Amino acid sequence: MKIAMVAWATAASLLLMSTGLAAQKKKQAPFTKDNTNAMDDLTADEKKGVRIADEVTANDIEEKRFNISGFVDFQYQNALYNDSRNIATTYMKKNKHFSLNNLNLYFKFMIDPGWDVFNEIRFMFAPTGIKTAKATQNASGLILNIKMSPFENSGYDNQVVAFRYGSISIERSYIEWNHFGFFQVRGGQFFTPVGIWSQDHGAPVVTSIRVPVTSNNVLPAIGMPVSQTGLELFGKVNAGGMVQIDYAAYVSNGQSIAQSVDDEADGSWAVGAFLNMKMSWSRVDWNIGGSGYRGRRSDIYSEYSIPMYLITSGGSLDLMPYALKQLDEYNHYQLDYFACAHMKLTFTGLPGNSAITLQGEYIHQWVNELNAGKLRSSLTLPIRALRYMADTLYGQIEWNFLGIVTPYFRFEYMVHGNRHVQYQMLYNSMKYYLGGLNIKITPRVVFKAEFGYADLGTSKNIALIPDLSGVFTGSAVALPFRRDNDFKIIQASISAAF
Amino acid sequence: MKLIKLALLASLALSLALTGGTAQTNAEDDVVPIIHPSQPALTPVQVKWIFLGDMTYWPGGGQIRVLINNDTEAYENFTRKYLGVSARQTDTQWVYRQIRDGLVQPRKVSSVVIKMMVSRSKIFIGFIRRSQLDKTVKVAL
Repeated sequence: MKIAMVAWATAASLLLMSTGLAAQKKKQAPFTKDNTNAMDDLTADEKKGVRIADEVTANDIEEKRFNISGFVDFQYQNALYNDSRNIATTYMKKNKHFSLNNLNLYFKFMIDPGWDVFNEIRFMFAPTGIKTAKATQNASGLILNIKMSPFENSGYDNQVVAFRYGSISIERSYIEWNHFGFFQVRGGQFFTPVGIWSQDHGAPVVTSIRVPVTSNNVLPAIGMPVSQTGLELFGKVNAGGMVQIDYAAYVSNGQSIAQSVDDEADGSWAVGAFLNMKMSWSRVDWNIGGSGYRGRRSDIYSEYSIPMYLITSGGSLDLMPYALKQLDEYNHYQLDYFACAHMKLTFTGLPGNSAITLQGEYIHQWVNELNAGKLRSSLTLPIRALRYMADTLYGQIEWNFLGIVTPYFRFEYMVHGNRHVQYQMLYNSMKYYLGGLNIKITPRVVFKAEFGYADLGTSKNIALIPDLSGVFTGSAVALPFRRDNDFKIIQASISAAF
Repeated sequence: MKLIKLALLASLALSLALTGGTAQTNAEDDVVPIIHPSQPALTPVQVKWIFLGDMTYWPGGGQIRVLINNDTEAYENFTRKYLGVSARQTDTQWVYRQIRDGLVQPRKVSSVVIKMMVSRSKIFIGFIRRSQLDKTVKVAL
């Protein structure tokens, strides 16, 4: 009995000992350079990986020198508004429809250490169909009316973009020197560094389908360019290990490359700067900063034989730039300014593995028109100098669960004053309420559904119509009706990054 | 009887001494960020920013090349501990960086490859299990 007990105890001890030794053997020091015997313990894949790693020298940059990526965005939209004369008809179709909003490709070339070339190309087309130009003429041959569809369907960024024949838009294209993180230089076309959303580019990464009003050109005449062609200095500076300063300063033509020809005509420049302070402290990530811009640009305005804008029998205003006899042309200069403040707070580590993000931007934009000069002789008077401005802001809250599901809500506000005589805005202010759900099916595939309500108010303000001589003297005609410009939008989209 | 008790106690003590290494092994299972020995140490916030793509350059200059461990358990443990988010959220963040800034996605390779690449070039940063540490690399923090 005693012998059996001792034998049992010994066997149990040996069993436990062997288990512990086996566990330790499994956690033995892995393969090292000098420990060639450990190669026998590696799998076939790991041996292959060792051979790959052996090829990497201290000076090699183990990266793909040429990289293609991009994103695509497919959307369903249903705009709802009661009044057929609603100004929303200018920007979107009332009927339900699908659209392929974006197909953007990125081409990145790492040509040499510290030198990159980056291009982003957007393929554009009119998914709602292209209206062919159709003219109506009177007996004298004077063209009375032309119906056209000049606008590309708005994509995820709500840009009302002039239709570009050839269906290619160069979003970004630059050469970049980036050896140092704290000081980098890029030359070419780049996004205007302002706020948060202007650079949070791409449907798969933007929380909502619609981009806030602060990221768009509020009015055609107020020139905050989405992108610019010029030279940009930028970088990130680490300050104290918990704080990072992002900065950018640039000089450019001001407007996008499509309009750079006009700017080149008068040699004007635009300058701007951006600053952001990023901090991480106690499960709160902060981003606070501001940006500013000053640019001068020139435009050419044409004077026609009869008023450019006519009220049709349907009560809408039709723009007819091509149907009239041109009397004169004016060089028109203006100074564009904007100042922006932005903030983004993210509270991480919340219950349910969730995070809450609060963010907002405020942009004040204003324009000073300079003297206009006639390009040709004319009996008409020059355009008066005006000053006008716009304020836009938004506040957004989103709650992310498990990194997958994110409900969000956003409020946007825009107000502008002193409407330009040549740009007919039928509302002075806009409020936009937006709520939706963002679901990351995978890290690269995102489904979004949202409902938006825009309160443009009624058209209690007058429209500015030129007099019969075609001069925009600021005379006004009260609209014979009031419009209900509120509308609702239901949208759903799937976007994918590749 | 006393002899039996002593034998039992001795056997158990010896077994515990060895199997108690399992507790140490758990600690060695912990994942740690590693850098080249010549690189200066980083702060926890800097490690977080690097692996989320917010910081792409070493304080002393030169681009950072991030390596992700293809051990899914290690990846999840690392992101939870050092980044405060899940591995999936980290992958999403890199997609965000790709589209916003044109950053190339980090490679996903094995611990062996990570250690080899980090030891050979100071541009790399990765993470491995603590038990895999040796003198060719050092913990980033």
